[in-house]
Amino acid sequence: MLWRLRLIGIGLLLSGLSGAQLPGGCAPTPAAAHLRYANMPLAAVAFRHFAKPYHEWYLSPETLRLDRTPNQVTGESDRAPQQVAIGLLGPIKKSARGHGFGLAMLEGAQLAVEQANAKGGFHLRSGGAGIPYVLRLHNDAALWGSSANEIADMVFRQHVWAMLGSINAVSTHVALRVALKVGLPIVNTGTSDPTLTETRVPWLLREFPDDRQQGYALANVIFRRRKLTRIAVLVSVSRYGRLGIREFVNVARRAGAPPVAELEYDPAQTNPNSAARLARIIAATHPQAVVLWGGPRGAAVQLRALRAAHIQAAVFGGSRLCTQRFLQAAGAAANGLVVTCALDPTRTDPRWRAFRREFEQRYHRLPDAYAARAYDGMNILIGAIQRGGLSRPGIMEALKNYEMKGYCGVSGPSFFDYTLNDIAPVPVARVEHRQFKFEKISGGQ
Amino acid sequence: MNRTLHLAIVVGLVAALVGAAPAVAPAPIIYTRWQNFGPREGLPPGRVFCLALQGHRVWAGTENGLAYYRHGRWKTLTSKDGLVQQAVLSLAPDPQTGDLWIGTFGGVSQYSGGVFHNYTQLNSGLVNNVVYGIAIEGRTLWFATAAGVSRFDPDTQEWTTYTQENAPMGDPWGYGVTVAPGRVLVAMWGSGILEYNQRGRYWRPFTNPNQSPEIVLFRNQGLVNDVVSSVSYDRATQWWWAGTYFGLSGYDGRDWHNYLASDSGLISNFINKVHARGAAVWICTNRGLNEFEPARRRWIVYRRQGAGTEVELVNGAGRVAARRKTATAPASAYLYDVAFQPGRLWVATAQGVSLGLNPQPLFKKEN
Repeated sequence: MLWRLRLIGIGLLLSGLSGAQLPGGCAPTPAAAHLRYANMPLAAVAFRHFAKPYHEWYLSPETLRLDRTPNQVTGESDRAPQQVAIGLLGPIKKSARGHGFGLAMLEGAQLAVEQANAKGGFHLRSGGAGIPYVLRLHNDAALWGSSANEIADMVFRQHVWAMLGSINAVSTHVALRVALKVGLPIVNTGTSDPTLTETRVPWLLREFPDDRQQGYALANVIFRRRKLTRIAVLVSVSRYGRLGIREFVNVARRAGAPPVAELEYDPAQTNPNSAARLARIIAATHPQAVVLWGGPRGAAVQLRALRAAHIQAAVFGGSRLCTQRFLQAAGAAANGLVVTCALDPTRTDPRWRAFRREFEQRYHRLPDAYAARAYDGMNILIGAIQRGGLSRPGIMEALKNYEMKGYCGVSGPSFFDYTLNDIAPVPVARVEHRQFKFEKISGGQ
Repeated sequence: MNRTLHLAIVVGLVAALVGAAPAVAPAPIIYTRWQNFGPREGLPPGRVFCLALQGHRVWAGTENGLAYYRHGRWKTLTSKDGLVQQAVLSLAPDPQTGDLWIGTFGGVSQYSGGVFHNYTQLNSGLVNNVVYGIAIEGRTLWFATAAGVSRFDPDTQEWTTYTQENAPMGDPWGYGVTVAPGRVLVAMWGSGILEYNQRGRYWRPFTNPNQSPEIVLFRNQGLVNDVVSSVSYDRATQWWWAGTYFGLSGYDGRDWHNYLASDSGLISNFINKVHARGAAVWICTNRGLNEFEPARRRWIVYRRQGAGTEVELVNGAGRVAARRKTATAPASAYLYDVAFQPGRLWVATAQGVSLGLNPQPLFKKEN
């Protein structure tokens, strides 16, 4: 009886995950009334049993205040520039960690730029011929804050108007601080670190589901739909692992189902004995579900070990496991895994089909989430440059107009809150026969 | 004799009455006239990130060089003169040597005897080229950089690096640094404030105790938020002040005191710089300038309005007690730094340098 009551209680608490508050269709939708930051389920609200917060952030149009005065530099005043330069920061060299994601991001962005140029490029308000957009590429080595040097180079030497990137959360945070000083608009299409849009720095828009949204989506599936309450958590020792799992664990704790085990693994460790040892510890806790959070390669090793230990629990993961690279690395062990995804490629809407066809023609392979999101992000940015003119504050102001509005991209509908973070429902997929089968659920559809 | 005695009694009574009267706080001194400096006065165009005073010389770190003020004009030193990079983020004059230490987007310059000596990630132990803050403590220099904190001894040329590997920081993103007796305080982006104990050689973190960036759970819960843009210490009061993008935090050595725009005279929660100065703290925000005296619970607000300034006297509860207007204003409402000379207030703004003049007790009646 107590068990049933507990389940009902958790279900009610997670009712905030209902997608009813978010725009369901793929059309820009006016602001809905969001009572909680990030469409947070009631279960995730911190200290709700103890105290009403003295102050809440991120819930008003005042969250990001763009001051035009910091940067009055415009390019339209004197003579028309030959090119409109946009910076791109990402792991694009083969030596960079996350090169696969970076290459996809570059290709998606490149396709958007090529299509914009085919339509004439940037048009000055004063008229005249279109000016081509050009990408200034910067490799993100993600070491010792090197992205700061790359951004400084973009701003002071290449005079870019805005930038897209990166994927590594640390690099993007470092870039954001530089952007604040110099007033450079950033569109991010690959970082899931929730803290990136929680700084109140008004120079960034993210078009990617963050780990907060992914955590809520998984909590919805695990607690509300499947009614599982004994959860074990297995996390990569990395910033992505540490921050990525945080909101899911918070929801679990606050909903009354704290993890029965929280273990960490070294993502560089490929020794199956080490993974087997962790699997045995997890097996001893008799979990109903295991949440695995990390990059594709390390997580595949852990998942194989969990399967080898004959753990019957359902296994769940984040969007970095929603990749072909992970499926190849995990093999048959991936079957049954449920993951959040940044893209549902099985959609059949004309927008997605057209993009898939164009991308395939251009690069001779199918686009992934990082390519699709970068394509959308670059289109958002190009649109903002056209509307805002050759003025960095003008461009950012155009981006800020997405506050509490939707965007219909090839990767599906996005919805940006007052922090300019995408809080649209997150696709969820289950692996069957080594393929992702997408469910019509999410942060709670 | 009688007259003398009576006079003495009267004088004594008056003196006693005056002594018994409640003490009246001196009226706050308001800078009532602003002079602005931009390209026409020789300053490079664009933002001015920082200021420093060295004797009578005023230094300004701009996004297009290091400028100094002399005889009513600004002169600028750039990369062509040897400066390591054009955008100057931080400045620290060394009182012992007379050198000026300059933090930029591309490394550190030491300006000594009219010559620049440059330190970068590639030619020294500097942990990152983007140097947001510099502090000098004796013969030791501290740099708050985009990827960690560096300590440097110019005599031995020895560098020490502090990152999440050897200090209690979630991420190594330094944003400001200052010194206090026996301690170094570092403002960290995302990791609160770190205090380095010089004698014990250990770090102690001060962070937002509720760990939920979306809320302030209790008004004086501890540090108001972990994204700290600036930290300042005053030797007289021994208070620390932390500027964040989520309000102002003060620490008196035992308790935290937090101030938001909604519950005080703070002009904006988005704070670029705090500067502790005796009983007051000066706060540079994206909307204007504050002076706050915690002991008197008294705020002064400088808000740019058109070409003039609206100056407000605000009480501790955030109620405006009086308002005045002055005819001139700082060049921009977006402020980065302040520096003080007797009777003069220098302000670094998003559109040049401004100089506050003609200090007056503008709120004498209301005080």
